[in-house]
Amino acid sequence: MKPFIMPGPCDIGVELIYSLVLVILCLLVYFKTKEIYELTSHKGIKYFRAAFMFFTIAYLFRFLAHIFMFYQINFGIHPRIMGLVGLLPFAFASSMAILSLAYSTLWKKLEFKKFNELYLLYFLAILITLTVFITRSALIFLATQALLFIIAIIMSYKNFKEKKKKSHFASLYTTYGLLFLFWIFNLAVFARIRYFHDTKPIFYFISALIFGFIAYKVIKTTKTK
Amino acid sequence: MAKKRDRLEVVYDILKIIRNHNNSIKPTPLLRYSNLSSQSFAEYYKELIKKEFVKEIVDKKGKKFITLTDKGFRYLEKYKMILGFIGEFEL
Repeated sequence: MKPFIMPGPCDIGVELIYSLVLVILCLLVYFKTKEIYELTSHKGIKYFRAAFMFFTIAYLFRFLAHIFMFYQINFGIHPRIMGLVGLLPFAFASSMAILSLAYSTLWKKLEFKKFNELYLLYFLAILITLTVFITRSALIFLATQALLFIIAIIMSYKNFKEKKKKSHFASLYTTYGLLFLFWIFNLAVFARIRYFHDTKPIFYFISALIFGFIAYKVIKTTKTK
Repeated sequence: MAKKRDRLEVVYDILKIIRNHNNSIKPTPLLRYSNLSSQSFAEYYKELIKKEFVKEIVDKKGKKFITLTDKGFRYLEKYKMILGFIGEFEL
């Protein structure tokens, strides 16, 4: 078993600011799309919003995990076990976020008439979470999240090709591609893969910029002229 | 051949017909102008009532009219923005 290393106050400060910024940006996307969902009940909008709601929950758990770590709140449990317990809601929320994001681009091709797809997404997210918990493998977690993200990117690329209009730079698949890279990095940090430790603040900054870009696009397109 | 209208467009067309008739129209002409089968129209109409986009008003002679609610007007006002959002995020 690798030794448990307690993060320093500076690390915690960066983590807290990063988590808070991301929570605010994700909530902004969620609430800015509330009215158009209420008016349309559009499935794509429903799952797009769900993705950002679960991103919010995932970042909130991340935030709480860091608070607990900093103040050494462990309810008498070893920090490593505590970390594993904290990983469960984070793994579930982040799996739901990526599943919802992938389904928001897939729903037209995969529409299920007989049952509510949300239950299927819950089932898959629980399955991923349990697999991660049983195997205690961060790599399995990263691999499943990567697979889901790749599906979302391929689908948004196919949609982009069908439209034949916009530039590659502004397209959704580029945004999702970048989001994927930084989300995987984010998971790697949370799973304490130490390879990324030194470059963390730069990655956090770029990651926040990508979420900020999505939030900006949402605000811009939902503004009534 | 014209492409099949999607659900959002059909709802928009129905609400627009009501607005263009001084926000008061009888069910039969609404069905005719909406270019839908009776069965489809009944389904959409039920949905519009349930979501409170339209309401029914009965006049003194017992005739039924359909009018838009504030929510119905809001849908018309925001329709282009909604399409823009769906297009932008490829939903």
